[in-house]
Amino acid sequence: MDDEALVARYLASRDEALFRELVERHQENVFRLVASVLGPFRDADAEEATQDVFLRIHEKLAQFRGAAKFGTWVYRVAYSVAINRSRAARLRLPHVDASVLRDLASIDDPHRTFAERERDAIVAAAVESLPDVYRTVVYLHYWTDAPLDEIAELLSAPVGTIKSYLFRARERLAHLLPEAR
Amino acid sequence: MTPDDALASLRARPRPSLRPFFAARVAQRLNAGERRRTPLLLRLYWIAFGGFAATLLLPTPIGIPLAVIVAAIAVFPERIAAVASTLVRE
Repeated sequence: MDDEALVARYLASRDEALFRELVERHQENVFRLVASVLGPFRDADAEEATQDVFLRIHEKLAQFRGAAKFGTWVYRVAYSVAINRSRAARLRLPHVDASVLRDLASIDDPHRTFAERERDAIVAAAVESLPDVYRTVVYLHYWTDAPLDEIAELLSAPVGTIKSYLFRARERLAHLLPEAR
Repeated sequence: MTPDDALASLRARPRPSLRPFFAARVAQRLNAGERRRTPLLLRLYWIAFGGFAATLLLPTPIGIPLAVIVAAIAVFPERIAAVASTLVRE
């Protein structure tokens, strides 16, 4: 059964198992998108934010008209919920703590040199300063290893647009990172 | 070092992953939300109570703010609870 039919059956029956089936189908992609919007420094919030996305979807389910694919609609809601959370977090704490950035590399490999950790902290700060959509694409591609076509589906944009976002993000990073010039 | 080399450090970060039984936790929150919803009769009671308190307290300096707070809690109990829990968490 496709998503749209499942939504219609859920709205008619209110059978919780059907909504759980919808959640299970999309949870990985929604979580990946939400985590990438929040970034690796705020990913502790990602699961709760993903739950909020599905609660919002449940609230708005009756408004889903089937004009777009259900997945596309879900990812739009997810992006909007995650962006709001990310902006609220940035307003409360505009800069990621430098010590958090510095500790990043040492979490996985305690033998990394101080210089390497410093470099990673500079890279992390530069990525954090990118505009929302570029930062999200960078995290989706480099952190969660999502292929371009999957990023395009998650952000409801053509693959060419995603490539151009990545290109522009790398271009900005080249300006922000002195060594990269 | 190219930006791609610089971004390689992101690949070294552990990838985010959901804990098991995520869908069950969402269902649990849905049920909790529905259980928490205040019944209409109770809301009407609180609105009437808010109105009564407002008429009694209106001549006093705290009358209007107090009446507004009581009315807000009466009309939007879940929203006020959500805002309060967010403030407490922060």
